[in-house]
Amino acid sequence: MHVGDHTRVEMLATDTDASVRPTATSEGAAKEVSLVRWLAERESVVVGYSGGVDSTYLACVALEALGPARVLAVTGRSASYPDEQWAMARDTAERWALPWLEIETAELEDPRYAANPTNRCYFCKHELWSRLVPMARARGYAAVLDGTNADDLADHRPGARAATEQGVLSPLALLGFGKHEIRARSRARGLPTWAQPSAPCLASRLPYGTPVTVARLRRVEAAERALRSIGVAGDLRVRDHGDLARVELAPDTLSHWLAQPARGRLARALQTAGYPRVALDLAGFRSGSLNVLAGIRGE
Amino acid sequence: MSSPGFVVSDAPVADPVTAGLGAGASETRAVSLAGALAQVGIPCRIDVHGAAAFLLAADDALAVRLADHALRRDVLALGRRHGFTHVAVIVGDR
Repeated sequence: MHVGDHTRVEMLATDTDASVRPTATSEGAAKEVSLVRWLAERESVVVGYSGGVDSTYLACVALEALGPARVLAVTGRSASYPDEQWAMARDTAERWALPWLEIETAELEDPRYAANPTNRCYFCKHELWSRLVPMARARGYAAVLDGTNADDLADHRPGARAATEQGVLSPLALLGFGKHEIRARSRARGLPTWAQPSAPCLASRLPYGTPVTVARLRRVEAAERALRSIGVAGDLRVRDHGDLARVELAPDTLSHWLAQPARGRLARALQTAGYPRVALDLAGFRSGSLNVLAGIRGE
Repeated sequence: MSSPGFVVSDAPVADPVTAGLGAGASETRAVSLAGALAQVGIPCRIDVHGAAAFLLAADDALAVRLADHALRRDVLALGRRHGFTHVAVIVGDR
């Protein structure tokens, strides 16, 4: 996290204009100018919109660049998509008057996805884009976009191949937006997602090889909701090891949750959600933790 | 850097174990890690799921001690030295 850059951009935005328009005085703002130009050249776009930091930013900039008649944000919904994320997507779309459409996806019915191989994300994204791209074409949109950013390119992201195969474009990655810049620009625009922890699909809580089922996904979702309800803030993952939940929390909160009475409350919350055994990871939250567990490096 | 009387290195003693690790090798590493922890005053049982080690103590004391950041760091380093990519402490078991 480039805190220095982040702070600098925020201050510029706050000091210069309450409505916050991009300026050429910071790298992130300059990139945003390029993004607006790039979007305008596409003429009309569909944005794969999860309600997360990246796709929300992209959709809102597209709305500004093209207007509501030429932008459609589309959310693919299934059991692997957290309800809270859906609520955030809906609320943001409503607040920003973002044209929004939901489509049902059925990746859990694909045995190649449900077996949870290390390239599981490919089958999920294949399902999403296979529905979304033809729909966009049928409605006359010129391009389909996703929120992949430049930092993502270093990660293990087999889903990116599915996007490429379907001709989906990733302007944030193309123009070199890193996550910290997207957060800074999101804040400057007043987007509620700017500080939102990343929230990948619920299947990412299951170790590779553990079959993805609706019941497992629901239990993970209930467990994370239970932890939020007792005050867990910031990054959080409940990793499902069968009857054992391994909880990853923001590292700076670990000492609090290891001490009583917080530890007892945490264990009871997870046991009520369906995990008889509860463990706290001593390193805390790690993005791609289960990739590390499986010995997978970034690609 | 380390807790008093508990000096470990970040250097791995072997390549990190992977999901393909056999049960026998996994058990051997768990026993080895349990022995190393006992030597530094942390007696516990270890359950293994892939390359993750789960520490289970007979009483509340281990979790209390692990609220200390420096001790957590040292336990993690010891886990890495024995080939575990993740180390967690069991805080609820019924």
